[in-house]
Amino acid sequence: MTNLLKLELSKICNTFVFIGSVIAATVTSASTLDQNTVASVIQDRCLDCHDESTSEAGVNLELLTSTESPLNPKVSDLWTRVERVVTKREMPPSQEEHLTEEEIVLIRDFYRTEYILKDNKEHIGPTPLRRLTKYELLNTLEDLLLLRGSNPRFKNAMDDFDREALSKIIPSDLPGDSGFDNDATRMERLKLPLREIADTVHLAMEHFRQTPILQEEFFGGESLTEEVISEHQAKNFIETFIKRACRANPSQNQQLTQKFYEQYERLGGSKTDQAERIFSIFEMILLSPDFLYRLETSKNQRTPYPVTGMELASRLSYFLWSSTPDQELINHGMQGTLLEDKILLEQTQRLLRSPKSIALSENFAGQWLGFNDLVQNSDYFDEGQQHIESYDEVIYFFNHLLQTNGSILELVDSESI
Amino acid sequence: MIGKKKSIPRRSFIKGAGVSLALPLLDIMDSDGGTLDPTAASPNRLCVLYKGCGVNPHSWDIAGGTETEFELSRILQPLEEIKRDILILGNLDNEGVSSHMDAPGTFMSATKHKDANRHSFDQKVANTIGDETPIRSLQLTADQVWKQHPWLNILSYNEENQPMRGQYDPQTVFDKMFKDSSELKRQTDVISILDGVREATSDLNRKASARDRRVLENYYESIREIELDIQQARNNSRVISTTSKLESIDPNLKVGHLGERIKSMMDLIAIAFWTDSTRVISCMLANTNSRSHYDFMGVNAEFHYVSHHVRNKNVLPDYDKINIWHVAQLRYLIEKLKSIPEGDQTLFDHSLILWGSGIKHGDYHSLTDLPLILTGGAGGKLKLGRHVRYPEAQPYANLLLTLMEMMGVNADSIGDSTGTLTGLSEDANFPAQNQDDGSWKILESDANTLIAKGLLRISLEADQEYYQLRLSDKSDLEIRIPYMNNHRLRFDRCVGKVVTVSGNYEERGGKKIVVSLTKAEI
Repeated sequence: MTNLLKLELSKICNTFVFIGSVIAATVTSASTLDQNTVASVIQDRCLDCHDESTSEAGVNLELLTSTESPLNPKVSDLWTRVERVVTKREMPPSQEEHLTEEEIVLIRDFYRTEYILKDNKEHIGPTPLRRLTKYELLNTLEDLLLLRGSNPRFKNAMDDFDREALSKIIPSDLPGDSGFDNDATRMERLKLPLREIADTVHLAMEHFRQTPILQEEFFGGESLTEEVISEHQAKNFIETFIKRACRANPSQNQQLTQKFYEQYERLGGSKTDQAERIFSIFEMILLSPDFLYRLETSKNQRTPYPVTGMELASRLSYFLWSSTPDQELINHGMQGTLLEDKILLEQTQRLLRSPKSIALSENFAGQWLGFNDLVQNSDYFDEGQQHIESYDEVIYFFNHLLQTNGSILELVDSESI
Repeated sequence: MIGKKKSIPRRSFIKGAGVSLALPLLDIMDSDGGTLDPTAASPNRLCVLYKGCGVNPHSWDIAGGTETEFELSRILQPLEEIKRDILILGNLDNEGVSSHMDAPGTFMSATKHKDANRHSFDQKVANTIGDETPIRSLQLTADQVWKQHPWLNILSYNEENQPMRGQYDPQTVFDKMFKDSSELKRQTDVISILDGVREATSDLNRKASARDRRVLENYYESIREIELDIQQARNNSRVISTTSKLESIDPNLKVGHLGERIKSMMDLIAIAFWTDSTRVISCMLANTNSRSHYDFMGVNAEFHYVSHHVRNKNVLPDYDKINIWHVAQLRYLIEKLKSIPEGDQTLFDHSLILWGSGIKHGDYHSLTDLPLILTGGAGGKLKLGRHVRYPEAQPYANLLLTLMEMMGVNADSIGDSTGTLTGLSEDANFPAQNQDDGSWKILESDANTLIAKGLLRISLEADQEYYQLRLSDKSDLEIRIPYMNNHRLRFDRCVGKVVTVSGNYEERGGKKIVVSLTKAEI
């Protein structure tokens, strides 16, 4: 008879992915599993219909009861299919006796230990803190301060906004071992280019300051002109700005508002330069860690827990837009409604439908598939000219796949290109 | 350190696209009488110029000659007229991981890839003298960022082993050095704003994990560093606040291609040293995997590709041409520095420049006998006009240690150093190799064949691929043989050595040209 090996599941399970809310904490500290045990489940519950002679629907599971190594591709293939249909309760079919909860958990946990965990440990852990990448920061500044000229109302005001000039100041990010430039480990190792970030923020804020129409849009009708601004108004401006910019949880927003308002008072000065003072405060806010970094509260526990609505809004927005959440998303985030499946789905679809979602192709796919080089690396230029057409073809193709949930195999071979 | 007032006349800068700075040659003293303190010794400046992708050893090595009387090799030809201003070193090894990905970091620190801390020698110098200038040190790069192996873009590492990225845009560098007085206001604003941020946010309760708190600490540390930098710039302020003439300058540095960019970098180095804005500069002319194209100089090739000149056919002429061009840029810098008076000498006399590559053989990535040029007077500490080849291979780290010492750094060692090098400040007097004993000549010859003995070298012109046998009468016997002939005799390995050849020749234009060889003996 076989030896029963005791395998302890490690306590850290699936950590949080941006879209998931709570994944049931499966701390199965006391469960015992081994290949033989699951094999016997297959033996007892599946082989009647799925052995060599019966092979219902062409599926033969005898391999899973043999001594074949789980690393054999045929074996892993079968286990993948089994795990899927078992956890979805598609198998056994409804007219048959169901598997017990225990048996389902057994199969699922075996699969996880064998094929998902690495050396018995999660290879996804807590999300390490990082600052916004250069790309994310520039997008955020543009969107936050409404600098992007997509709104025809702003056409004339936009004429002299130069994203090129803005992007020359901060040095480019370097990719980490992951191959991507939003690699927190790499970013931690590089020197924080705070001076350059300060200069970039200053440039963007200057433009915002000199274009009252943007302020009106931002604050809903009011611009910070030379008129006298009351204490109450100042506090409102600051609070609104913080709520929009800092992506923080409501309680943190309160603290930040209080602190930055204190700074406003500290700046003192005559009545006439109140507007200038407020813009200085805005600049400060845009240089604070709460803006520059993707901060999330940490509960310091080893089992998964849900992020807050605002944190989810931030994750969703930076994933699909590489930019800050807009007011609608912020509202759902603040109110916590974003944690509801229905709202989450709606908002995800909304974000995907927005033209800003091209950022996912530009940022992720551009690095993943390397086609960013077509416009960034002068090796690929022809007499100094970028091959915009080639680049456009690739990026819009990828975007199309994304929007239509196309098959990834289309990247290898496609009928439509 | 006593600040020196210098003015930069407006006519010195040429505006417009694609043209770099032209520095004034004379007349740098302020018209309102600011003068240098004649008793203050001029400080030495250190400049490290890194040209990746190695060389073709035959084209680089100097064969024969003595320490002070020698002929420049193919690649070094551009330095012919300033031969007395350079010191060429040979037989320094930097063994270790031989991937050229590692080369820049190890060139600057003599550490190996797995070493924990690659604190580079220029930063060690900056630690010692950096506080005396407005800008502690400057890192420049003229090459594109190679993203797959990020560390290969970096020359300088600070004490905490953080890579120091090179500035790519000359205009940005210029602005950093020479903003007019509005920069002062900006500096004040930056300090005020960052101070406000710190006040408002450092005590906030963020419920962050331990690691995250560390990341945030780095952030606040950065604020502190910016304040210190600005403070230092103000304490040591020279041109920035002391001359209003600078306000009228707007060089509008635009760079169209790599050649212009490198020239601009050379200009910036000269102007930075001249105004004493900084005394430590590292510049990556080409990184060790350089994908830059040199079509602007008529070579339709990517540097890294042609550096692999053994496995790729017909690329050697282009490879040599690019290297020759790079050496010409060094000459440009030297001449620029020599044209700037300082005291009763020149800026060149007070500079210390290391030019070199992290690997020797571009294809094999060898790490022995690195291609290195030292130049600049280093305040009298470098004796120039020589070719010093160490009889026994020395650790390259010893060179770094010696250079550090010349720049005033007290250090016991760096990397795998075993001591300092002799022969840099004074004549080395090593026994000369491959000396002409008068026996180099055509020993026998008839109508078709000959036997000759001499020192074998390759042709000087990069375009033509043939060999030359140097004879005692200073003439060269050309040897142009077919590939298989060369291959069977393994003739190429004789380059740089005294060899006796036997073969057939033809008369062309009154000269004997060897067209095939039957024997070649060293």
